[in-house]
Amino acid sequence: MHYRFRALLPALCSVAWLGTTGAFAQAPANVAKTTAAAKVTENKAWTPPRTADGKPDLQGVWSNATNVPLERPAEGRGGRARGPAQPGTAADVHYDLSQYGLDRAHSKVAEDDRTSLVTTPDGRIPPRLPEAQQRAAARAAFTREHQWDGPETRPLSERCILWPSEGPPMLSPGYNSNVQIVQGPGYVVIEQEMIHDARIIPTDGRPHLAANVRQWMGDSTGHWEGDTLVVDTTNFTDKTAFQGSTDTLHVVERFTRVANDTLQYEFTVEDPHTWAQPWSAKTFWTKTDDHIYEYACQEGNHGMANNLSGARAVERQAEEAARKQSK
Amino acid sequence: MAASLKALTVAAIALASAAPAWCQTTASAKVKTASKTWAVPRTPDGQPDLQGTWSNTTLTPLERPAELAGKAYLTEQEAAEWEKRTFANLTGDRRDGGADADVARSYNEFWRDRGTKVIGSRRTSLIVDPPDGRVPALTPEAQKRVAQAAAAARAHSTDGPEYQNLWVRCLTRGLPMLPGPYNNDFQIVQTPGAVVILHEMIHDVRVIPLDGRPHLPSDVRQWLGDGRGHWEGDTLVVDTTNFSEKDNFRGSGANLHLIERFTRVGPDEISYRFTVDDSTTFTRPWEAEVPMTRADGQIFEYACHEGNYALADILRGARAQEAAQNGSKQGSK
Amino acid sequence: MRNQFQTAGTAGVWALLALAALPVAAQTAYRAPRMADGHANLNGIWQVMNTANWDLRGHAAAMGRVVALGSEDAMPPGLGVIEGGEEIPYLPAAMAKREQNYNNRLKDDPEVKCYLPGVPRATYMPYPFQIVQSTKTIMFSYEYAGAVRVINMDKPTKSPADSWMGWSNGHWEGDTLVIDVTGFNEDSWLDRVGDYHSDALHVVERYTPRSAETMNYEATIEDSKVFSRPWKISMPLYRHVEKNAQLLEFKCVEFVEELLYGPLRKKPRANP
Repeated sequence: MHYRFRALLPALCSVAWLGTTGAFAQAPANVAKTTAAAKVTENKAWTPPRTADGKPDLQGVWSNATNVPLERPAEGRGGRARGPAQPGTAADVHYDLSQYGLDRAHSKVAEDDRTSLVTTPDGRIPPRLPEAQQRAAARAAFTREHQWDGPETRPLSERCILWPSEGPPMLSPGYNSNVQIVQGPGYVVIEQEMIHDARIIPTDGRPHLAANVRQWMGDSTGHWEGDTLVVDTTNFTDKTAFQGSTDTLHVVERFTRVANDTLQYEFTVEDPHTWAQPWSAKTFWTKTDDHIYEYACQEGNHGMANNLSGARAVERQAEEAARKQSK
Repeated sequence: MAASLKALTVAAIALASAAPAWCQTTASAKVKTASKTWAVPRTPDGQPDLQGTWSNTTLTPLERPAELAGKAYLTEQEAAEWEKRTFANLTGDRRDGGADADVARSYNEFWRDRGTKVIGSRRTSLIVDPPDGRVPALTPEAQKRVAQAAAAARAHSTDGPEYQNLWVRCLTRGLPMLPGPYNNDFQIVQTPGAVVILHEMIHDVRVIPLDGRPHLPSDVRQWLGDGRGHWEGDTLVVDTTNFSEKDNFRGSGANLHLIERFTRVGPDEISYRFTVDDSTTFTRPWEAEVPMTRADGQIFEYACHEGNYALADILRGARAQEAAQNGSKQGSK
Repeated sequence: MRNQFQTAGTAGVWALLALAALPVAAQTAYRAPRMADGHANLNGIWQVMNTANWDLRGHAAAMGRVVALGSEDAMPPGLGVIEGGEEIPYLPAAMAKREQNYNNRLKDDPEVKCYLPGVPRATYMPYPFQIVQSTKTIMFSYEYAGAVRVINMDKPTKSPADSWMGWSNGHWEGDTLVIDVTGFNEDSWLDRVGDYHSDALHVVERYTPRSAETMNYEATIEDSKVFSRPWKISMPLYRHVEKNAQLLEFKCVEFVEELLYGPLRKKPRANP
């Protein structure tokens, strides 16, 4: 969970920051609570409205922000609820996160007092297989040596190719946690604001793409089981690497609207080259009145150019210093 | 190429040996249809049927030769003599000289299709108007333009591909449809709404709509312009504009306005007349008539560019000559 | 696409009406307008909407060959057009040349040099083509490089010499125009990633009208020197329906002169 913040800070490419210091304002009033009737336990008595072709209507703009960590923190005592973020903590002195919508506390979140999204008994992702650990170690070593070599060694978000939280599975990126669902006959389209990626999911039972066609977000097909949309995704590239996985990643997501403004989002992840068994997680999205804005990442990507030219400048300085020393 | 040449040779022999009855038309400027019993066949949608493979090979030159000035038509006897003389002069199939001489001559009449006969009316030029059978004078501006272009071409002809002619560059044989030294073959296909002409060289297809649509916008220019057709009685009239400034038909380029008239005048002949109208180049419009006779066989693939060794070799040779003159070891292989 | 709005009841009503209207089982195949000779009228300007010319197989997007062209030269993604599988059945001995072609495609793809595209590639070039059909002749005129094929609809004849576009003999099977093409040289490619053939190539094409504005195109490809068995591609052809649609000239020979002859210029061009 914490890695996401570290990755986010260098990658604030679309935002012109002014460098003003500032603490949080008081906890904003729009840390939303969902209605009591839609509290996180599934309320099976509620039936969703229907689209014109008789399918459960999941449409709208949803916030998938959450205060629940993906994995239960190692130090957390089991079962203890966490409250919303406290004012005055975890503020970065360089940015006024509240001014530019980067303040997670500004996002609408569903009330959820679980200690992890992951639904394994210990609330943690199962341990990775040895081959996955080796891959991760090799990747880390390579990154340490080469992280400023060029664009290919930078994080996907900094390259404006893909936000890692987009998945699938879809997790909250921390800001711009907005997802819009549109349904037409035979299709469900899910657009994630960051980075304006629309997943077009056919529900006509067609097979997946051929095995040699790989995509960053894989290939998704969907079907309905009762009032739940089940989406099956394969054909990932080996560069997607969700949680260190490979191109044999297989994700099954389940979308159920459990209340007027609450969408229950569950997913199961498996990859025989990364985990010994599948694992699952569950979270809740809450409806917002907002709309999806354009996230023109590539078009404003000063971060990448500045990082690389900064790295080249640092190298030149080091060479200069070395030359002077050897004189 | 070999098969088409054999076919054309057969055709040439056939043409030479047969003496079509319509050859004996009077020395009149208008083309008359063959006989009163022949009626032009029609396509299912009622157009006069121009379809088939046609050749416009002939020994008759575009312009009346100087020595025939004032003589609009040859007699049969004169024509036969003229044909014999001209054909003998054309034939490069000589056996004097050794292998080097053979290579230098490279082509003999086996490769060419310049025909053995003048046109049936024995008119001494393809040009019918002006009456002197010659291309009208160029405007003063055009004379200058043409002279400058010629001088530039002479000075720079081997500098790069752009100064070589369009045949050597394998770009197009252009319009109007005039006979050349070889591949004088065309195929016409008609559908309701369009007449389509395939020029064997260089596999150029003109699709000429008959539906009255306007020409392309004036800033869209094409090597073969943009043709629009309509029927006037039994004559297909094709109006072509939008030529490119890179075209060069005897000095005329972007401003060329070409009007072609196709009339089926016999079972095996189409009368093809064209009017050249470009007041920025010629002091007056002029008109020519080129009979098209039914060809034996079919259109073959003319893959000019794919086998274009000539252009590369011309440039390579020029570079080698320069290198030799400079006394250096430069010049590409 | 079936209208999913129909309820079972409405569907039942339509079925009854359909049965009432037709004395025999409903004929759902499209019937094209007729030429005067009774054959289907295939006249029109057609074009594919796929990426077969990039790669006949299904393929994800990929970086292009020329850095300076950036996204303009990147390979777009596409579903494959090969029926019944994703692989082209190369003979093991023929794979090496395929690899070599792929590695050298910027230099060796005949399309780069504006060479004639051959068959079936001419069909799925990203340019329109026109079928000109009279009661006597069928001609295919391709906008790309002005390529053209005249289809012999009389008794089949043998190719007298190899050519880029092959030798086409055609006949009708119902409303399907079947064209048997032989007489190829070995110089054209099947797509931009180096799929190729030898002079033993034999292609059988089938053009079947499927609606007023679409046609099914299938091509069976066999070449005993390169492939272990015949294989087949298929794709829809879409009619150009805009007013006054016409082919324009794409005489690309001129555009590749700098590429082919630039080094032979007397003076190199400042900005080729």
